[in-house]
This record gives sequence, C-alpha cells and structure tokens, in this order.
Amino acid sequence: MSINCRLLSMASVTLCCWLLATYLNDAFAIEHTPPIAADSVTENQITQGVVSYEVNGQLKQMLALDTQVNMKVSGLINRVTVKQEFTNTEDNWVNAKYVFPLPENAAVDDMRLRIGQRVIEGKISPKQQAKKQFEQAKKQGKQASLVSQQQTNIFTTELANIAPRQKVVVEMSYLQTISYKDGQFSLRFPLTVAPRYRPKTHQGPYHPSTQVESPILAESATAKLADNNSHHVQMDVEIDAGFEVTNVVSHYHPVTEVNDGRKSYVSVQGNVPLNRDFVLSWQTHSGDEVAASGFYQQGKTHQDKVSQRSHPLAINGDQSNLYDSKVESSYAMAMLMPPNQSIKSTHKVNRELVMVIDTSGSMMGDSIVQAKKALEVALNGLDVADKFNIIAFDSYVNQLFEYSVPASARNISHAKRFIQSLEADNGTEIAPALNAALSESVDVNRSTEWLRQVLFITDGSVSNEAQLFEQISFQLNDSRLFTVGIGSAPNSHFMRRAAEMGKGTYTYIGQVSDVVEKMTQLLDKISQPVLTDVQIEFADGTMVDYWPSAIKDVYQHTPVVISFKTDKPSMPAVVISGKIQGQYWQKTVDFSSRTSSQGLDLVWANAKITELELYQTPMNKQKTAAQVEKIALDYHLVSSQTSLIAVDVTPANINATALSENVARLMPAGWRMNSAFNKLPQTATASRLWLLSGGSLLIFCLLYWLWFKGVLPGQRQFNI
Amino acid sequence: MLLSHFKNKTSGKQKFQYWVLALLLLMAFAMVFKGGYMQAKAHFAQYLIERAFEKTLVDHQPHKPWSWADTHPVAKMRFISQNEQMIEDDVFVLAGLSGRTLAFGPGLYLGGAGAGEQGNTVIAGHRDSHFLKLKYLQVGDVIEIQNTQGVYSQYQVTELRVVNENQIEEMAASDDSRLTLITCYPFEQLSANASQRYIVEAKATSTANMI
Repeated sequence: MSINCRLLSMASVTLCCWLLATYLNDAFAIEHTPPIAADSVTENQITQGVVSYEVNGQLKQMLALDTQVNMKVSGLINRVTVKQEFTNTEDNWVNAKYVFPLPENAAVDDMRLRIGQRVIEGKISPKQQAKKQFEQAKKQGKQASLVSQQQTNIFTTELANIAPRQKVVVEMSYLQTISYKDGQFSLRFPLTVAPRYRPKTHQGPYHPSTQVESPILAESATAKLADNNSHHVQMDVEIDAGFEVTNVVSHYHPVTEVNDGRKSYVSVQGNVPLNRDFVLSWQTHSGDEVAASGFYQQGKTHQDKVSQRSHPLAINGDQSNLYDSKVESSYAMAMLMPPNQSIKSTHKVNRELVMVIDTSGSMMGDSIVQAKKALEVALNGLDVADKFNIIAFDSYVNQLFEYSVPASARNISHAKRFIQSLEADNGTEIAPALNAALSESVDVNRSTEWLRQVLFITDGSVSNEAQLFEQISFQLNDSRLFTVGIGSAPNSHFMRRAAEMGKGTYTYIGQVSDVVEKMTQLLDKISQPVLTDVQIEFADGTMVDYWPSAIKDVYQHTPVVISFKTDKPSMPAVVISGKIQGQYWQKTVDFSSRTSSQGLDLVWANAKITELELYQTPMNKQKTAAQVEKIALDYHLVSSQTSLIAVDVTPANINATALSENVARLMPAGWRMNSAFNKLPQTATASRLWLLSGGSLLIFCLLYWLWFKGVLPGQRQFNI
Repeated sequence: MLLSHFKNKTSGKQKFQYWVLALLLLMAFAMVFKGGYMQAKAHFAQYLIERAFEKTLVDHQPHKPWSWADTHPVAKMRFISQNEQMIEDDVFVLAGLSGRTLAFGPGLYLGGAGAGEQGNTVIAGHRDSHFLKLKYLQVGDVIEIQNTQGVYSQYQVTELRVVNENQIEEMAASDDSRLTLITCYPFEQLSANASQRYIVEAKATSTANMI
C-alpha cells in the first residue's frame, strides 16, 4: 500500500515537473527548433548549393550561384569587377535569367564570358540590335550572354543554352563614384533588390512609364527559395584614397584589412549570404580650409576596341599606349572639399525644416521604428530660431501644421505626440506628399531669408520615378530636398536623383543603431552650408562642358564633385567660384602637375547620361534616346539605349531545346515585418494542446481522488 | 518532500496527498482555462469585429472593434465550397499580422495588396480557430471578399500546397490579382510551433460593386 502510494506520488510529481517544463518552454522559448520532419532530408540536400523547384509538377533543380567581387578604388572612383558563376546541374540545356543589382551610380563598360578555357569579350551595341543578335545566337544554338538595363540600378544577364553540367562565368567591369560624406568615404555594393510597389496611377500624365519586370520570383512562387548558404559572395577591395587612409570599416560583414599608408586592402572573410548590402567606409587626413582638388585623365578608357584586344592591359594603366594612339580629348574631375573646422555661430543660417515621413505598408517593421526615431532626432536638433513642419503620408497625406511653425517647446511636444501616433499602413503615394511638402505647405508670405529644407524620409519602393522627378522640378523653387532612405533596401536610385534635383543629399540608414548617429550628422551638416552658388569656368574665361549641370551647395563635411572634359590634349586650369556667407570666393585648379587617373571619361559620360535622362520629357524622348545612345557607344557604356553582348562563334547546342529558368533572389532582411525570423507568419496557438492536457490532468485527478477515497474497483476488494 | 513523507508515514501521508491533489487540480483548471480562453477569444471577438466592420461599411472609416484594440477590420471573407463539412459563415479579417491581431481574427498583410486590390492579397490565420476550415477547401472552390468600400471580389482556389516557413516569397507582390491564405500545417498538430505552412492560392474571377 505504502509503496503504491509512493510510486503514485512520484509519478504525479514527475508529471507536474514535465507539464511545468512544457509550459516554460512554450512561454519563454523564442526560437523553437521544430521537430525533424520526414522530408527534411531532401531539404538538406537542396541547401548544399542547389535549389530545386517545381514547374508543371516536375521537380527541377536551380543553378548554383557564386559571386566574386573585386574592387579597386582610386580617389573618388571605384573600378569593380564582378564575376558570376553558374553551374547547370541539370541533364538538360538551360536558358537562365539573372537580375543584377548594381550600385546606383555605376557605369558598366566591359564584360567577359568564360566557358571552360575560352574567353569571349563583350561589345556595346544599340539595345534592339543587341537583342536581335542575342536571339539569333540562341536560335543557332550558340552560347550568348546579354546584359541590359531595366532601370538605372538594375541590370539583367541572360544566359542562353548552357550545356548540361557546364560552368559559365560571366565577368563584368563597371565604374562607380565613391560617396564622401561627413569626412567619410563609403562604397555600397547592393546584394539584394526589394520588391517594388506600383501605385494605381502608374500610367501617369507626365510620362508613359514602361513596365518593370520585378526581380522577385513573383511568377514562380512555387520555387523553393535558396537557403542562405547556396548564394555566396566573395569581395576584395583595394583602396587608394589619395591621402592617408584611416578608419576602414565594413558595416555588415566581417572583413580582414591591411593598411599601408595611402593604400588599404580589404577582403570579406569566406562567403556571405546575399541578404544584406556590403557597406565599406574609410576616412582620410584633409586640410583646414575649403579645398579644391582635381583628378585628370588624357584620352578615353576604351580608346579603340581593336587595339584594346591586342593590349588587354590598356585599361589597367598602360599609359604609353594611350599617348601613342590618337588623343582627341582629356577629362577631369574637380572636387570641392569643405573645411575641417566647425562653422562660426554668428554665420548660422535660420532654417525652415519640413519633414516628410513615409508611413506606407512597405515601411512596416524595422523601417517605421527607424523613421520615427529619425524624426525625434530631427526635432531634438532644432534651434529655437528654426521653424518646422511634419507631413506623414501613405495613400493619404497627413499634415501636422498648415504652415511651418517656430520650434517652441509646446510645438515640439505636440509634434512628438503626432509622431508616436503614426502607423505603417496602405500604399506609397509619393506624388501628393511631394505636392504638400513643396507646394501646399509653402507660406507665400514667408521671409526668403529662411533656408527651406525638405527632409524626405521613405523607403521609396516605387517604380514611377520619372513622373515624380518631373513633379519635383516643377514645384521645387528655392526649396532644398534631402532624402533619407530607411530599411534594408530603399530605392537608392530614386532617392539620390530626387536629392540631386533638390540640391540636397541622400542618406541611407540600414540599421536601427545607426539612426541617431547618421541623422545627427545629416542635421548638423544641413545647418551649415559653407559654399553656395558654385560656378566653374576655364581660366581663359571659356565655357566648361561639365556635369552635373546643377552644382550643389557645399555643406560642412560634404564635398562637391564636377566632371568635365576638353577637346584639347591637355587640360587647362579651371576657376571655381562660389559664395561663402554672401562673400565671393574663387579657386584655381591646375592640372599640369597631376598624375593621370583612370576612368574619368566614363564618369563624365555617365554623369552626362544621367543628366540627360533626368531632364527627359515625352517631347524630347526620341532626341534624348539618340543622344544617350551616341554617348554610350562612344564611351563603351551600358545604358538605357545600349546593351553589352558577348556571343560565342562556335555552335555548342545542336538541338536548341533549352529550359527557361530564373535564379531565385533572396528577400532583403527587414523587408517583411518579422525580420528577426525571416519566416512566414506564425499561425498556430497551443489552445487545443492546453485543452487536451488540462482535460487529461482532470481525469487523472479524478482517478487519484477515487483511489485516495479507496473506491476504485480493485481497492474495494483489497479492503474487504 | 518525499523524505518528510517517508518519515511521517501515517499522519503526513493524507495531508501530502491532499496537497498533491489540490496542486494537480489547480494546474488542470489553469490549463483548461488557458486553452478555452484562447478559443473563446477567437470565437467571440469575431462578433465585436463584425459590428466594427458594419460601421466601417457605412462611413468607410476604420473602426476599432474594442477601444483598446490596435487593429481594425479590413474585410469580410466567406468560403463557398462544395464540401459538406464546410460551414458557410463569415470571417472578419483584421489589419496586420502580429500575434495579438491573429488571436482575434485572420490578419491582412499590410505590405501587400489590400482586399480586392490588384496584386497579392495575403491573409494569415490560426489553424486551430479561424482557418481550421481551410483544410476542407478544394481547388475550384470560391472565396468571396468584401472590402471596406463594400466591394465584393471573388477568388477561385487554384492551388493548395504545403511550404516551409522560410518560403516568404509566398508573400511577395504579384502582377495578377490573387489571394494567398496562410495557415500552419499540419492541421491536427497541437503545439504552437510549426515549421510548415498550408497555402491556399486563389485567383480573382470577378469584382462587383455592391452599391
């Protein structure tokens, strides 16, 4: 009897402990390891570099993908070589399509296709012609690769007719300008592309915008996304900053770094997943005064396609080759560097700060939290003499004040309550928001002494960029437009160009921990303009062919870069002028003693193309297209009008029955609300488990009680 | 505890067993209450949500179903199925996919298309309450959705599939008008953790204005 009793007690205590443990596990375990499912074996096989997916009920395997990036930075120019490896793991011939996200200011000028030991050079052709050549090669069963531009920062690579088990390496080179901000040089390599939201008013009155193919696997939703370790990237960066390099930081990826005076070598350790952009920044020692410096290059990078093939090293610095060939022109880049010392308080300009915040559904999650923090930083940084206003927008516009109000304590606390009430919802209708910021909230009776600065905070996932640019140029007047990109993948192309037009800057904030620091820097900077109304001309008074045509104001810690060219074989000195607190300022930049840089012609050509497209209207569309095509062909650039194509001459595929295949892209981190888990929403509760276990325990208690009372059938016998 | 019980065999034994019984009873009731509360919340909240949605239909403004709610109804959903086990009552969809929202009703993913809009309309719900009935849905069945403007949209189920929870491309935007219903899988599983999701994919067939 007593042994029975003890056993039962022990059993019940054990049961209690188990239930308690289960409860604690449910209540506190945030990331619960799911039980191993029966089909997990096949999933494990898939994650080892191969992705399988289904089309028409047939299980297929996706191509394994490996990306290697090599960067060479000289001054403000970054020469990048990207190498993509595709392996056809199928027994069939395959047609694949790969969307490539380039940095927003990149200019592609070279491509190579390697199949086994053969190397095929790419060439620039007008877009339609390239497409025709590509299709023809495809029909003939030849191997071909085509890189074309969808929007300025998205390139597509088509790979036709890849033989079974064959490895294809696509190598492309592009030139990128390095951004310099707050004493910091930085480069960004986008590793993912966000799905873009298309508003209802897509076919706008300003511009018949063309449909953009979404780079996300919308149509092949059945395909299984790659686990992180099947998409690999390897990066090597060589920095030659011109000055002594200090403080080299990789923001999201672990790197190894070797510093050697003005040079620095950075490489990413091992392979990293493609769900975060690679951001690298560094600093240099600079002077105490407003400084102007020049970079100079004689002749074009792609002087002659034929001579270049015979001298493959011509691009990489064989200068004698350039002098030997016919030199028609020289190219230069002038950089205006602000002083290091902080500005005097008596020179402070009063500002009217209008903050526009995106509260659309795509801002949900991390992004809205970041944006709210950013607004609070902005409010805290306001001077009593400043004025401010806040405009929130999604599908609708929600304006805090009719016109800007003084930054009094009362107004600011009112604004803070307004910020707290903001929620992410609905679509992104940027046009009405811009209208409110640049037109409706402008007080016609305001004093023009106030510098009107519009701070536009958004994730900018919008496709109808051209018509928004049009609107900005109509409504801007004397407002300056500063854009702030929030989240893991803002449309930096839109943001930067909008800022370009508004003589402002673009700030990218990827991590919540960066918000306060970066916003403080931005607000600090826009309160301190050091040089305004900049102009450039040759020392002899002749006009300079420079881009961008709207030269920005120089702010504290923000240099201004101007690209220009001359038809003379050597670059004459230029005079750069501007205003410092109303006072006239000028500086002469002499190029005679400069050593030659590389790729300045590409920078110039790309800046000119960007500018041409920026001011494109439906009226001059044909003309602009022709101009862009001519420049792109001249300078060997991929653009909206030209493609880079590489076709193999030897037929490889006799029966051209290739399967089309899209390589899956990983979603950017933080795109969805539950970014910490990167999973579909959790759609189960343990309610039934609780009911069942609670019920079982009740029955157990009943039995226990009956046993305790001695009324169970067995016990009665025992008692008698 | 066991040791003391061992020492006072006669007097302590009864006392101890009463304590154990009381403890077990308390736990049993707590568990039944907890499970029942979840179910009751899911069931009865729908009536309050229905009331809020009716108000929304009148003035086209969002209304909170109860004053402290952090969400509002955005659509009414009805399954029209040939399956006899499918009970045809309305389900009211709330805005957002947070755990708090899903406890009261299925949630609409705000980063995707709205109810009846072009694009991918994503709605997720709990497999043990509102979306339990998804297991009776068959290909060809019709799902009717009424949005806050009173507009009815009909979707026809085109595919039923089971995916891994990592396959977030199910929530990606699309060019066509489609409805993606998400719930946990398998339906019979009791725990709150599931690594698989049951996806109901439906394509728009018609949109008709009520007024």
